[in-house]
Amino acid sequence: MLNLENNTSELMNIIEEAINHPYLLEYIDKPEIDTVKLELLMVLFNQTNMTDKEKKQTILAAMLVQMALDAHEKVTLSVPGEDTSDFLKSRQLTILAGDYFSGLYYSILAGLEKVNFITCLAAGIKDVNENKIKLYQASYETADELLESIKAIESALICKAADAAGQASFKKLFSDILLLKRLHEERSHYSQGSKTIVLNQFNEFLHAHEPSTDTLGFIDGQIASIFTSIQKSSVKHDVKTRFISRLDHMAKKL
Amino acid sequence: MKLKMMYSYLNSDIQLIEKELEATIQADSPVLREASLHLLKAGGKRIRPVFVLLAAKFGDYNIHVIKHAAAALELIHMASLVHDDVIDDSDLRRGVPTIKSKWDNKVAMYTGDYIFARSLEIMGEINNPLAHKILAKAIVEVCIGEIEQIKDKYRFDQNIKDYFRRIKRKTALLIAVSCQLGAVAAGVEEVIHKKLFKFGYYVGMSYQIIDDILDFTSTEKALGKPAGGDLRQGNITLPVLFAMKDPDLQQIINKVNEQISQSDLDEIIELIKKSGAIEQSMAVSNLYLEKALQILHELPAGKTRKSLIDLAKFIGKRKF
Repeated sequence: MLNLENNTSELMNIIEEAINHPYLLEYIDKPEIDTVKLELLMVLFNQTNMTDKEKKQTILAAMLVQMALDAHEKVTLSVPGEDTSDFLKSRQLTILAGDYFSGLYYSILAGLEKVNFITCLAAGIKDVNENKIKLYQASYETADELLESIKAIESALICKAADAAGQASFKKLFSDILLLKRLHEERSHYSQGSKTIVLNQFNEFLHAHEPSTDTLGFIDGQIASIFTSIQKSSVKHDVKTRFISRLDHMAKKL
Repeated sequence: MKLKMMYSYLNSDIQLIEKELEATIQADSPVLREASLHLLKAGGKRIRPVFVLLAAKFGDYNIHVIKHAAAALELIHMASLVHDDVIDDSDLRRGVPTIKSKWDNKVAMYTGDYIFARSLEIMGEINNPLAHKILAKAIVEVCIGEIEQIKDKYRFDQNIKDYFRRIKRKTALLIAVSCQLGAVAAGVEEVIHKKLFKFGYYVGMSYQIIDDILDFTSTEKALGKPAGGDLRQGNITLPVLFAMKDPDLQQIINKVNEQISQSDLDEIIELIKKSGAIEQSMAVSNLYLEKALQILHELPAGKTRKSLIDLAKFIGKRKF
């Protein structure tokens, strides 16, 4: 059984060791490990009868996929004549870092002979990118549709991992937790005056469909509604309590 | 002989794979679908799927199983091309605008990741752990090769070993794995699928050396991208390494940087062509080709072996 108190830092070390490529890390932003996603994966795989070693390797693979997607999200648009050679090199290596992390995920799961996890996480990558491109390019008719895209971007991987682990009952709670986390982050960006793709979509949507609602009010309304949904979840009380308090703590820090 | 004539008996299966490729990248998002199909429709030689099919002919050939490996390999190759075009800031690929040029870097990143995911999803239809181990190892090596390529850019003091190691990872491995995977998916015995890996490796090395030669000797129209692009981008290829054995030419080549004017670059390209470096590189490519053909003699004789011989020879003589 993986212990959230004792094994989180151990897993973080395993992840850092796996991505340790000195040349890459010299030029790219240090990849961040999303500890909420890491802990949710630990909760998820603790429900299975895998050995601790298998759990750790499978969690590592899932986290590598997430970090690959996160790396590629950082790839910026080309600005002809303005991109310096150092900037270009950093962009090139950010792309390759993402590709490398994806390759490692496949390699780890192939080594474990877990073909079902390979395909489930691949389906997650597919869903994430379908929704990322939608968020980047499309306009939304309803708030639900917009929030579903954000939710899929945040939780498609973990939901597919839940399917592969035979723990589909966790999907609703986990995707709510991850959407709540993202909304807290977007709220923080808004407060700091930063621009993000999500905030841009919120603004466009509200301008077109709910002109009387301001962005902050919209985000806060959604946070309250998801919070209620999490409270009502039938999943074990201690898991809910832990993550609610974790997100509260995170929101205060943002 | 035209490429397709060498394995005309596989035409219906190749068409089936073409359909499989198209069906696999039918994304829900219209932009993602259009971007994915954009590259597919731009064509390509499809040599990886052809190698998969031919290698599978040495075993229990079932196209409905093999097609998954063949399509997966082509999609992995395609996904890497989409990201490579962002890395190289390329506007043209196979004579048509790249995804990053037609849309932008973001769309290209999402499309590449989407195609990669779809490739692993269909590869999942092959329920043979060895096939996944082989492919996964190759993918990681390809990535390391690409990182090494960035690291080695404009590093004029590198040697031929650096170059061979880089092209092995960049190109030869995926062709080698195409041959091996086709065989593994068809249940071919280990001694044969390992020979097919070696054959693919030698062909892949020869193929990439020719590619690097063509960057100097071919035209923009034939290449579908500007000639001399490798050297401009600081990619030190075999013709450059041979040319640099002349100390005077080495001094000139050492000055190449991103800002070099086209006329200066054209002048250097001419000097490299006159130095004998192209012929020397061609000789190395032919050596790899010979090794590939030698391996084939160790495989069972028949129509498949003949096709592989023709294909290897075609690759060794190609002009595009």
